[in-house]
Amino acid sequence: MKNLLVSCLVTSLCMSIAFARADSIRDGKLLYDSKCAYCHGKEGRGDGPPANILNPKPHDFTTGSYRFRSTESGSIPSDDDLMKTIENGLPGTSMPSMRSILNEAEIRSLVSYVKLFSTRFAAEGPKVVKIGPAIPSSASSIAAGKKVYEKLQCANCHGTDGSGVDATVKDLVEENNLPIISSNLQEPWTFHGGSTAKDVYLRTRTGIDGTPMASFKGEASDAELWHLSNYVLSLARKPAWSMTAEELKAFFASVEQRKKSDPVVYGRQLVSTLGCIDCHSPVQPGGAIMSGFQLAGGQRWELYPFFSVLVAPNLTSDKETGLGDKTDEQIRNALTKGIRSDGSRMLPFPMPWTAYAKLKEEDLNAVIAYLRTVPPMYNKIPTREVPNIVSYLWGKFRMLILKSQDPAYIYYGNSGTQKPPVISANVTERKKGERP
Amino acid sequence: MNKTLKRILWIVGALVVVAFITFLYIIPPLTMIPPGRFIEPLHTAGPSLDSVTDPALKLIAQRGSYLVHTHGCSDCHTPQGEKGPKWDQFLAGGALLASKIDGGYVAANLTADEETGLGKVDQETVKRALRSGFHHTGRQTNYRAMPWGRYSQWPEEDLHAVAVYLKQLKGVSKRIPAPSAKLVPVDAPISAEIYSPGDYRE
Repeated sequence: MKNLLVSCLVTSLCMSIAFARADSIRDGKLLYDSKCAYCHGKEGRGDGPPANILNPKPHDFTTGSYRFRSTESGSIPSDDDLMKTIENGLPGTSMPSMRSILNEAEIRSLVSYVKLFSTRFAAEGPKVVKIGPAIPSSASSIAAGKKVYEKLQCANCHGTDGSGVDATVKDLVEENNLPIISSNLQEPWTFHGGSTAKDVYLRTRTGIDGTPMASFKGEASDAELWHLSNYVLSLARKPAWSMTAEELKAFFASVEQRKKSDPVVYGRQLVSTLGCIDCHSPVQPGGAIMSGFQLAGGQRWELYPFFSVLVAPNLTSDKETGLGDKTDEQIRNALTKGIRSDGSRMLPFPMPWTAYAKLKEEDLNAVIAYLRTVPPMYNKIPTREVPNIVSYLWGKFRMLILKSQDPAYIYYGNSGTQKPPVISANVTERKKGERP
Repeated sequence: MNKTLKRILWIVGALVVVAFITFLYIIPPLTMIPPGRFIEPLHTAGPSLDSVTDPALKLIAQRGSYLVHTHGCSDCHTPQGEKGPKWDQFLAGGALLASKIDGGYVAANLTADEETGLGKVDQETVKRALRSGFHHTGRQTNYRAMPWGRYSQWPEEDLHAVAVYLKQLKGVSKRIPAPSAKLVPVDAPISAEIYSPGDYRE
């Protein structure tokens, strides 16, 4: 009788734990599908629709390799690490802090669900590093940290002042051969893993898996890494939001100066924030931009029926189909006056040249300088269709007399060489720069 | 007599039709209007920042204003009237972007209105929306409707500047419907997205 009671008790306990776990995972799946799957993909491969335009890309959970850990290099992260990443987000990236969206229990169930994407979590345990006693920041600690910074040759990637300006190693790549820029150590608010002394210590101690940032476990003692952490945090410059008016003026002037000295880098950033890629790249029907063909010409817009069919041209430096044979003046006219290279005028929509018209001279130059460096891709975009007289009049009648506000239809694909749109006959089958 | 009257009526009718068609034809298309007529209203819209007393805040807001005006936020977020965008309701929300796959999204009201705009939304949440596409109610927005993927490439300080500038906008009360499949036009083609510069009200 007693035995039966005990076994009943044990079974029910086990089952309740099992059910609670199953519950947690089910909740986790629901949360994952509504909050995370859009970027990280339903299967956790980091391949959701926005993946190809985000930098850094959404994390692929199936690898079981995580960047921001408190565990040894190469080990899986602890649950707390994953909790922390979801709670705080990754500053400086598109991964937001979920603290105001989800409660702790929800984040916990999300963690248990995310761990299921990789078999590593079932097979091994996290090797949590032993953290030595923290050394509070002081002048002597910072001076000691500076020596460690020199000893570990941090300046090779991060520059002598941490800003990376005079870094000797520039073309860094992360896993999957994607280009990566080393952190600007003067801007702790962009440190993806957090900006407390312990966070910086952990990055140097455990390394950032999947990036060139290695663990310095064997090369510096625990105390040295704490000094280094204090030194790195002492490099921080004042952020713009706490500057005075005088400091802000100097700051903006220095930004303008850097734009002039390195226009291609700024142009690349401007081209991505101005949204050129959104329309001038071929897009798959699901909405994801085809990777590798950015700016090779994009979608077809049907402005019913008056304004005809518009196409987004090829902006790569290809001589025949892209901007290769256009002069700077022609590009500038298109961007600021809406005048095409054949002299015809654009509507104020969908190409937002009215907005670009007031771009500063340096910004425009940077955009043009960057577009000149985009590798050529052969992609012949069909010319836009001008309406016949009947549909032109009918369209005007609808617009001016009937006051109908007809929507524009945007077709994915490669400027819709065919109706219904099919993904690029031209771009996908040819490699970069290859001629037919 | 009757025959002549009929003939005259026919001629007058034909003339009216021809005159109407000619009238339609000669109304100059938009592409004949000088570029400045489109550029100036956009870049003069929005609040004057002269009333900002803190000089540092003013500089940051000016940077935000530059970014908002040059990055085409207004293309979707300013309601469209019969004679073009309603510049007095700058960034009060309006355009619809819809597809049969993703449903319909209406551009949000970004003005400082407390009920329908961003009046009660803090700067961190505005920055989160620009960087990660999370609406202040916690839902994920479509990256093709609201191109947050682009704005995530802005440095933190630019995101901050935009959030500061949006706080300066004059509040316009305009309720924007939540995204739903009902907003997609029935006859919309499955393979296309629909952009409608209409003025949506609940």
